[in-house]
Amino acid sequence: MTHMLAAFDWHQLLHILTEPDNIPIVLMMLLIPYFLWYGFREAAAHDRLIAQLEADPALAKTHHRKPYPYHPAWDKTLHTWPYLLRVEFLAAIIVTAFLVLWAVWLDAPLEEPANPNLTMNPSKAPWYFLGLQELLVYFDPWIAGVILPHVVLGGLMAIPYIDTNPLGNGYYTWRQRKFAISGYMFGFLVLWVLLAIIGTFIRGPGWMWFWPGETWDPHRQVHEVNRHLHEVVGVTGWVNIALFGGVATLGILGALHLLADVVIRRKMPVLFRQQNFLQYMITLNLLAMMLFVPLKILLKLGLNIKYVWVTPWFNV
Amino acid sequence: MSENTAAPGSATDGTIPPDPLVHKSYSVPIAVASIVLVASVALAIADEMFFRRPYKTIQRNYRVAAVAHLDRVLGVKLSAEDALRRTEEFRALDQAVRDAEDAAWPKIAKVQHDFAVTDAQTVVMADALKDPRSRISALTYLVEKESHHSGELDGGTSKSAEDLRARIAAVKQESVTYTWKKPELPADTSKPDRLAITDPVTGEDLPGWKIAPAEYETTPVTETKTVSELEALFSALQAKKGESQAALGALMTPISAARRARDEWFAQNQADVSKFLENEGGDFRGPALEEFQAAQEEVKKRLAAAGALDYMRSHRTKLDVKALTAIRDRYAAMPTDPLQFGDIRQIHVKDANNWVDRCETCHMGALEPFPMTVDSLKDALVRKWADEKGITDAKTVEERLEMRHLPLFATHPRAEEIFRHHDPEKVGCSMCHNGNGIAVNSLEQAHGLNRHWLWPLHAKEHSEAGCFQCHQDDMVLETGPRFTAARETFLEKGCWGCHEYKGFSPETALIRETENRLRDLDQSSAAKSADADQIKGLQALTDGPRKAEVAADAARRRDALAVEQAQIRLEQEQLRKRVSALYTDRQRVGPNLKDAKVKVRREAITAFIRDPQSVRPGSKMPTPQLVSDEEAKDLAAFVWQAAIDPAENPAYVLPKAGAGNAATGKTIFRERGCMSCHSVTEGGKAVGGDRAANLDHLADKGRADYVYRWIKDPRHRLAAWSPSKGRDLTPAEAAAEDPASLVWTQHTIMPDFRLSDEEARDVTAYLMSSKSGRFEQPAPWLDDAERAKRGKPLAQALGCAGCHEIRGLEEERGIGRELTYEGSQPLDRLDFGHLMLDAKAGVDPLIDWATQKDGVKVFAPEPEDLREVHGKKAGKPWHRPLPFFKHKLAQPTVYDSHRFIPDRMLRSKMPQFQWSAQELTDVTTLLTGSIVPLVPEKVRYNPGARGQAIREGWWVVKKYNCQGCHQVAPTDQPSLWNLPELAAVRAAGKDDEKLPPSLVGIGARARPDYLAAFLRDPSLGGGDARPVSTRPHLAVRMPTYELSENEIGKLVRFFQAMASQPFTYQHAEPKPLDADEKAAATEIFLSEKGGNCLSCHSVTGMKTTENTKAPNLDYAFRKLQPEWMKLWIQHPAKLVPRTAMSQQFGAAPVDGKWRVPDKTLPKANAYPGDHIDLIVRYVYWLGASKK
Repeated sequence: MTHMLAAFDWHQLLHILTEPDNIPIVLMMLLIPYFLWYGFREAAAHDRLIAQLEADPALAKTHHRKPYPYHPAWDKTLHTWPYLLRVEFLAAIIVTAFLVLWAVWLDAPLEEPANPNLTMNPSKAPWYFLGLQELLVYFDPWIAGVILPHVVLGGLMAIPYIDTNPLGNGYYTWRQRKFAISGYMFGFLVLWVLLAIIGTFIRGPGWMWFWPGETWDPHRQVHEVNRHLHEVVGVTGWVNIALFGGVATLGILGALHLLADVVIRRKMPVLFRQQNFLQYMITLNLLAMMLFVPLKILLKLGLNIKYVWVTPWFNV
Repeated sequence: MSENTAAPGSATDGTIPPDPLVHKSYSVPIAVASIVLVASVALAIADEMFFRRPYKTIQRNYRVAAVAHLDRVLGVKLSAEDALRRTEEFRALDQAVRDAEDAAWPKIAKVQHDFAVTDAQTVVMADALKDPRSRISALTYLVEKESHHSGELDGGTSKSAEDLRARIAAVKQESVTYTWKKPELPADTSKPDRLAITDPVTGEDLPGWKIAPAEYETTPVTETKTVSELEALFSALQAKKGESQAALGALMTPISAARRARDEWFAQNQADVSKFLENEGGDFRGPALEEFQAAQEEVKKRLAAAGALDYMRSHRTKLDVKALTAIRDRYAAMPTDPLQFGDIRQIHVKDANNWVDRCETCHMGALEPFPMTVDSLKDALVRKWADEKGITDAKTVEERLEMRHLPLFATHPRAEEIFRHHDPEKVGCSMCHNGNGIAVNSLEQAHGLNRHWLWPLHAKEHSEAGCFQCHQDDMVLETGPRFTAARETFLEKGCWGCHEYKGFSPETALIRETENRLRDLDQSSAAKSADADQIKGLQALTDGPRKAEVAADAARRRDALAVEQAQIRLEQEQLRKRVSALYTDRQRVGPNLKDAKVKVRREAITAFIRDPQSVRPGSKMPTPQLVSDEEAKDLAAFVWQAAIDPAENPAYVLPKAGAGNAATGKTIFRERGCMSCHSVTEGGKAVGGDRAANLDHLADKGRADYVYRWIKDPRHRLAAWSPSKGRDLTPAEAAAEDPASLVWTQHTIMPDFRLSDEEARDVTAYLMSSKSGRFEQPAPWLDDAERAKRGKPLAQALGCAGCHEIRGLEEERGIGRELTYEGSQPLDRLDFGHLMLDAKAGVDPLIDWATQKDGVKVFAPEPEDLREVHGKKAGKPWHRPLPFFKHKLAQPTVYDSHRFIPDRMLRSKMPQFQWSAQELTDVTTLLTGSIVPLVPEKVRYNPGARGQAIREGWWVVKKYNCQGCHQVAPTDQPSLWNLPELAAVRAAGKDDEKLPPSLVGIGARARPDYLAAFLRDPSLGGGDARPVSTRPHLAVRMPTYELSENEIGKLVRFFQAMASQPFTYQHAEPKPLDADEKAAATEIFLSEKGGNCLSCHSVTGMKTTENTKAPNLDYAFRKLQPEWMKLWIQHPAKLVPRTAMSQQFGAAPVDGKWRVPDKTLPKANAYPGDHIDLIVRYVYWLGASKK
């Protein structure tokens, strides 16, 4: 690390940050923290109000339960037109102006004339797929490209059905929705945004790991030997390997289920009580799979273990 | 906290505070945002319409510059035309016109006046008659209707008809009053009134202008007439008008004729003013010629006064005033409104995958049909501003915007010669120049200088790179000096030894192919013999009832096999002949190392291998990439031991050179032509040619016996090489073999000078007289067998056998990659190694381009980058093919930098060459330009028979360095001319006496059969005997090259094609002379007052001058084409400008016959015919009859 710090390649960093393809990610890196902060600020305000109302039940009966200034004579609801739409109009104008200026300043990137015989190095997907491309390092394409996205979509669709928490509808709050928010933030920020950021800024030629400040040298050579889990343990024969992998995977997943179960029962008993069996199982499944992904990432990055379950038809 | 329950400010007064969500006004933010949005959209539109279209400004500026330039050209052209009008010829023609006009003028004036009078009247009358005519028509109509009803003519007799007729009559009787202006005849009608133009310079009237249209004083005349009278008068006047016109026509006829003569003369001379300037007056004779020349001088003076003489000389254009004016007006009418979208000019080449080039959008002047240079445009603009705005300060002028773009507006350089064959409409621009032809938004984009366009515009010094793709088979391009230089450098430096390149040494590949084929044939022949034996064996074994049948069958099969064997033998014979010819033509870059033991001194060989420049500075041999002195010793040991030892091959036992006279040797060396290829150092400079080695201190490296043998017979090896056996033969073995199957040719271009033994000894003594004494250390390692064993793989790896013949490595191929299409290598395939990131960042490892760390001066600093011109200096990235090649050539191991390569055999093996800056640029150009052609096939160069002959011939000419002694193209400067003694001869104009003849036009001069015979044997059968030479007075000699028939044929056809001669020469033998003719011819030939031929020429058996400086005429009959001889004698300087031969038969033929000017020669003057024809026949039969 000290060697890196001594020769930090600012030029390389600047080059990556200003590459036209990467500008949306850079913007995302600015916007996400901003909106996180803004959301949590609102949530904090609401939480203070909630604490206040919980402390004084009588107040709860008459209070309108909003953290903003309020007068009884004021309307409790406002019409969309014009009050919402005028704000949206202003936002639309600002966004349009921004887009026009961006379009004038930054031309769409046009690189060398296409040559089907020459592949670029690195050959990167568009920014909205870089998270998935990064995931391909850790998972089999079938898993990373098909199964996991389907699970993600399925999980997102399932949320309304497993969400049994009646609180927190229509207003920002942290204390009333800790599980949902932290779960979602983990799934979005860590399992999507972080992977996209790694795919954009950290992965360089040959899809090798380059810390910020390292020059992207296509001639770099690293020594990395990937092993499979069964090789670490010493299993041979494809049948044994498949069986071992199945046992290992299901074992890990099972362990994660148990872990999630234990944590929910201890820390979120209300949730445990509110959900029925199916909802709870789905919740555990999703949590387990969400935890499985970073576990596998760490196995790959830390121990160079590529696949946990190897079969002739799919790998995990 | 209770603050949330109550709104601020509500508790006190009971009024309802405003709800901020409702009452907050967004007007200001929306207004601001809207303004920003509108502004950004306006910016987008302005960006699209203007900022991204720099060509609009450029085109506006072009309009200004081009109009100024054309005005200047027209101004100059017009003033040249003024001068044309002042020539005597024109004045005479014009005077004729004037005289005709003056003579006819009184009558013409009268007729014109009559016409004018009539005209004045009729116009007014017609007007006055309009109303009555109209009324009469209406009435007539009614009458006709009456006729129709009544069925009678003339309206009938009814009351209404009569009434109508009466009314018509009444109208006709009405009186009309009109006033017309009568023109008065001018008082003086003796001469016409002419429009004059004054000369802007002298104030004089220039002649030849039009007659002013007639203007008359008028007096008004009022008349009153009845309508019918008026009608009659009107018709009469019309008729009179016709008569006047006819009369005028008749009177004008002589005038028109004179005018026509004058105008046609003017048009012919005005069409190309510059031709007028250069016209030698060939069409004029006598006094007219003098007048013409005077007029020319006048024109030149006027142009010089306008500062335009040089301009006109260098800016020839065929366009006349009208065409130029049309172009100028078109430019002046170009829109200047910035809201216009500008004019995108593009060339679309459909045949090349829809190639589009938009270069002309900014380079507006590039393809114009008239020439413009930066200087001429600048000059025109400066004059224009000085005139119009009074700006004369140079700095202000420079700073004006239009000046910035002037380099864009210049016409393509050498447009005429280049566009003759390269129509831009058919190939566009960027196929040859690179760059991104389709981009117009900025210079960086259009020239391909951004990081994604891999083919940036070729810099000026590399602009001929585009020529290579179509001219792959050409060695010389007349319009491409850098192309030619690049090819020459590639040839001379010997790149083709390691790297295959189309056209350079094709024999090597062909020999390999042919020998492979021979081997295959051998195998198949052996197989067939085996079959034959087998059949014989079977036959012997078979017994029994079917023996006869089997025997017959076997016999048939054996016959068939015998036939096949015969065919194989025939093919083998042909192929062996072919191989033999190929071996004769073949070249190698370096000398034959099989001779090393007898040729090179032991003490010098290792130092030479380690660093050739230390032994022979300026050596063509590049420095091998040896890691250590030990490796050098190993390699030297291998080379030494691979060389043939005299003990094993008696052919290598050389005769002793013996002592010789070094001073005589020096004279011979300098005079005989050795220095057209070799050089020696005199006064610190190398004098002589640079194609072959510098011979200073030859005694350091060479051995006298070998030098003697070499000089005596360079074209033959010491020992014969047998391709079939694959080794060198001893003399005994060689005698046993079929001579046609052996190769005796030494692979060198050095020819045999046919020196006698004594002369060769003298030259040897001279060359061996200088020794630096630096190489005296004994070299015991050369005999070390272990070292030789280590040296062999080293020699193979380093590719020594690509340039040299080494025993055991004859079959080795060059270690370099084929470069024929190297320029098409994708950038990703060029291995920059660890320098790739440096290249992209613009960090250049070879920073100090002037010298390298081992003190070798190689090349000059980088030329100016276009971006620097516009003030944006970048650390110029060099991650492109062109700089890749340049760095590789400059230091071949540069891409091994920072690499860990423990195995020395994996390191870069290309040796280090010594380049001058120009050579490096040229070879880089060659490599960059060697691409798969982009130009569509039907546009590519496809020479006819003549072009092909010239093409093939150049390869041979360059190979043998003919231009070391001879001029082959008219602009050549042979190396021999550099010798101080010969430079003095040239300066004195005495070329004929000392220098080899120029070969310009030799295809027309010499008979092709003679040329072929001469090339085969320049001594014409005489061997070493001197007198058999057409130029016995010359010391320098045409040596014997022993070319193959193939190459001789190519050269002869080359010379014929260069002189535009038909390939089939038909020799027409001149008629023999009868007695009278012979007497006359002899008189002319010998007499001092006649041809005086023997004052310079010699003929065997005739008394000639002491110092001949002209060719011997004995061989004229064999050598020269008779038609050429005639032209030569008529006007020698026309054919060979620097010849000493004068015109002996007058400057021009008399009555179509060339005669001796002197009238006192009796027999000559008695002979009535053409004297030159006579002399040619005489000279011909002088030689032919002695045969």
